[in-house]
Amino acid sequence: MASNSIGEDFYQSLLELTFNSHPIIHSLTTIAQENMANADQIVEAILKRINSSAPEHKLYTLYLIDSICKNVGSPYNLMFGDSLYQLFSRCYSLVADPVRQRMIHIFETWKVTRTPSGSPLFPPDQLAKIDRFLTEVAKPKPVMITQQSLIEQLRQLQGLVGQRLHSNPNDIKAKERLQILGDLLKIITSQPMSPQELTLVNTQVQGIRKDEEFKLKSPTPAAAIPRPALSSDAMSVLGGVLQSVSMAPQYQQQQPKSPPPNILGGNVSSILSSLAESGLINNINSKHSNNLVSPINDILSSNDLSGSLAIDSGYINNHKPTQTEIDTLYRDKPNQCSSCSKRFTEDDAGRQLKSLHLDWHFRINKRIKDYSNIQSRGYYLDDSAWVKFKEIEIIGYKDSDDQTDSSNNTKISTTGGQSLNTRPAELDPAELARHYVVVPDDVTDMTTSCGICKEEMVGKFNDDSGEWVWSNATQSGDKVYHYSCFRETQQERSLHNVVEKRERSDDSVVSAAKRPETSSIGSSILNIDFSKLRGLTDNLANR
Amino acid sequence: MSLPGLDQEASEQSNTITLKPNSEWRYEVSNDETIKVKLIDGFAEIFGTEISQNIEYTFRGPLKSCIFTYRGCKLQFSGDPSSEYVSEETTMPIYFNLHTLLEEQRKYVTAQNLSRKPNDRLKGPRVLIIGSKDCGRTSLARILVSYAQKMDRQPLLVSLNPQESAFTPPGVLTGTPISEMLNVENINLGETITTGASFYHQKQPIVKYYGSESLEKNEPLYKYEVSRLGVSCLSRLEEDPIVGNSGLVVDTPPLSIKNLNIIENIISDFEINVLVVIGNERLSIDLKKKLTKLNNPPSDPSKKLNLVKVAKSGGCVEKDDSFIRSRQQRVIKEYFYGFDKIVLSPYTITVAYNEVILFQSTNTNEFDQSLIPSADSFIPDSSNADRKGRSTMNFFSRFEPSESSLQHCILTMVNPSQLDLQKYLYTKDDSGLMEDVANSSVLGFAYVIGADDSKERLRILIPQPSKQLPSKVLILTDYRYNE
Repeated sequence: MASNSIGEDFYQSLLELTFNSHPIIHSLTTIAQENMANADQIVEAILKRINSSAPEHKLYTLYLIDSICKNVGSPYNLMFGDSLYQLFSRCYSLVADPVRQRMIHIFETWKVTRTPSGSPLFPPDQLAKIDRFLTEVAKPKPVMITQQSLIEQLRQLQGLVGQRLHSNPNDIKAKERLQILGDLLKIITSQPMSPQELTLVNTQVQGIRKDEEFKLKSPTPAAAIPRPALSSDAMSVLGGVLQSVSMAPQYQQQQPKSPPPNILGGNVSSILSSLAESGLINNINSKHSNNLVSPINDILSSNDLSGSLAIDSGYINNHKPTQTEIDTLYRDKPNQCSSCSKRFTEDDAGRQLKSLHLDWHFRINKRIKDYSNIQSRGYYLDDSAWVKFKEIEIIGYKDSDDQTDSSNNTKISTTGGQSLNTRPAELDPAELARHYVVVPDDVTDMTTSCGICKEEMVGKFNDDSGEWVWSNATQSGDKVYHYSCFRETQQERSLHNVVEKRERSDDSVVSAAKRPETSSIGSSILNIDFSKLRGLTDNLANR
Repeated sequence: MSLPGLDQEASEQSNTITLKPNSEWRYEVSNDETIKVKLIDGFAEIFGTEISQNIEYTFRGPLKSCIFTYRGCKLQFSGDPSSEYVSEETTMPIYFNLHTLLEEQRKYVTAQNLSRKPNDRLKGPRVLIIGSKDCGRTSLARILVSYAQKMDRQPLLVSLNPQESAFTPPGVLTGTPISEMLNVENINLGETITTGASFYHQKQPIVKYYGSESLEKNEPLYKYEVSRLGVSCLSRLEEDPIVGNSGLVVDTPPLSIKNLNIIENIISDFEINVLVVIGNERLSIDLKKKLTKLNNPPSDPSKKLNLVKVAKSGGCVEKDDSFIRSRQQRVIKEYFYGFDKIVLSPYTITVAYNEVILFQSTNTNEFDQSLIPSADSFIPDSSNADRKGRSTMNFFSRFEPSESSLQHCILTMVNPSQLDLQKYLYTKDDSGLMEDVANSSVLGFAYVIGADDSKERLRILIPQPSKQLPSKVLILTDYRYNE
């Protein structure tokens, strides 16, 4: 691997760090350790990630920095150390309160951690600066919210939204927002509110305000606009700004929403809940408030087992599923099979799965036509066979013939079964090893491709014969084939190519799932490309 | 004035239904009637399984079902449903929220298991659904496993309701990994493995005998088979990481607080951590008071039991006896012969009376209850073989074949791989054999077409062609079938 891609690869892996995953942090720390020569690239990647990630993900990158500096130490602690204050204070200003508590906790450990040589982990002047910063922001802010001040704020906000609407009259979102602000204003001016309600409304109004100010600065509405990072010279005024950035991120606002119900003469809580519904503000009455973060993610990241496994009856019976949540069933997988209703994600993995799925339909349809009427109900498995049975035999895009054969134990297949159940025996490794093709002397390239599956075959040195060979290969005419492909074709089972190809390839999903230690990772489920991560580790180790 | 084509258009118009977001179309189809339904626009689902705009679905009665939409949709149907209406009252958002929290558990468990050794893995949520008759337990179970499957999970769907066994004819308890979508056209969730191909991925269940739909008839056997099924299902969760992270959903027969003992057994047999009570305030309060596991929470939080009560759907309708019977007959027929889209070929075999060993489930109501060992002794324990032997002995009684006892009966074949008949060849004592029978799973179903006492021969319909009966040991069920 070229060294200039290490930073990039590392950055790609960092993108997976969207939850508090000890294993990912551990792997990345190991990579950093094994690759100190490219420390600058790694540091750069981490800084890029921490600056560009969503606020709720920043903590995990910070955990990674913590892990690398404490476990690997030099040069990483020195490299991060110089800009530590800036890094820390910037993150701190952008994240929500619970995360701040954790940041303070990490910072406390930095103050006492020493490197093996006994020197402080980070430069004392940087740590002192952070200390001062934390003391400064911890001072209580005198905030007196009165109904009158809120009304003024709302009027100002109406002005801001109106301004935006003026520059873009077709902005439905702005129209909706203006409408809701109007309704809110009507209510606040018409009835007294408790201090608690005032605080809630104020928090939301501040959020909307911040969003509006930001939108005015950047006219093009992007799908996900990162919060404006505070420049270091703005840090001095942080105290004042802090209040306005303290609410959860407002990304939701950019997402398409159904129009809010028409509210007339409702009370405050109905307005608030309608605001929540429309996605304009977060649902302030529920702890499961953030559309972006799934309900108990916060608890998850705290590693509190009992919390994450709790089932909240109130949430189940009262929460109104948001469009974003329902999208997990539908729109998050926009790529739908044209034969059945199965959905796939719109990425490479999804497309690959879809093409395998379509292959499966094709084969099944062909078989349904071919052997109409001659099929029978299969027998059920016994306990031990069933416990060991892998669903991949059914969903692994094989013919159902194959399932029946592999699932029936020997005792049963002698009693039942039909001739069309016969399937060529699995190729055993010993048989494969007997078939190879010697790489011709006149070639300059040690690679060729199988004439059937087109997969690349790389020459290997065969110790027994003392020659360079293509293993699992056979030659017919001047073409080289995988022996397994060739044999299959001879048996007129060419339709199985994809399956066999997948089975042969070590990196394929199928074989990965068959290996328990890999499939336990459930990488596809977590959307973590562990093969990439592992590949990276291997490559780094080999360097 | 009538123009050609207009009439037809008009009739199609009348069969078009527009559903608003969060509403559902409920329909009933009488026995052997069919309706055809097509999704014209939008997204819609049947108990969690999405339907496609590219398929015209055929639903054959007896059926009471519904099509739900989160975002609104347009449907078109032809045929004559015995009842159909649109309802805007739905409990789907509640069930969806339950799914969301279960999925969070799965995510959490999956992430935790990354760093755990195979023998120390956490299991995904183990959900038990209970409630009174016709409250939508099976529907909720279907929704939960279908949604989980949509998240690329492979949860086990466990059906402990012998009246409506999932994927199989009635009278048995099943556990089935849901690794691909269910077949909404199939009256019984989908197809189990056949020797050929079918449009949907086939399912591979583990099947345990119970034989009756009355839990009172042989409650010790019921509890025993539930515990055996539990052992296999939990082993599958441990053996298979994808299934393990996905967990399981247990559907049950109608249970009330007087079945507390059964409920507690299921909770421990399946390591239940989420107990869902549908629409029964009283039951959930009683359970809160009485469930020992709730009141003495285990120290390990991953084993803690959570009780959640959810609302019953307004779409739940009473399934009367004739509906249940005709549904059972249909499922039995489809087991042997398949249905419209998958035609299966069963096989008739003739065997002599003396070639088979027949058992039937004992009616424990007739026994002195004090003879039946307590639930504790059902925990398999090899060191306690004598006691176990005695406990399983009461489950079955052997009987001789005759026309009166077998004509038109449905039998289950005991999986021969779990029996060593040689061992029992020269002994009159059936207790050892019965213990093995109680511990084995079902190989398949058999239907007695006829029994001839004069020739001492049975004509039996079995699923596949075969030179001899695939299992010599058969157990009688309470079900009859008329071809």
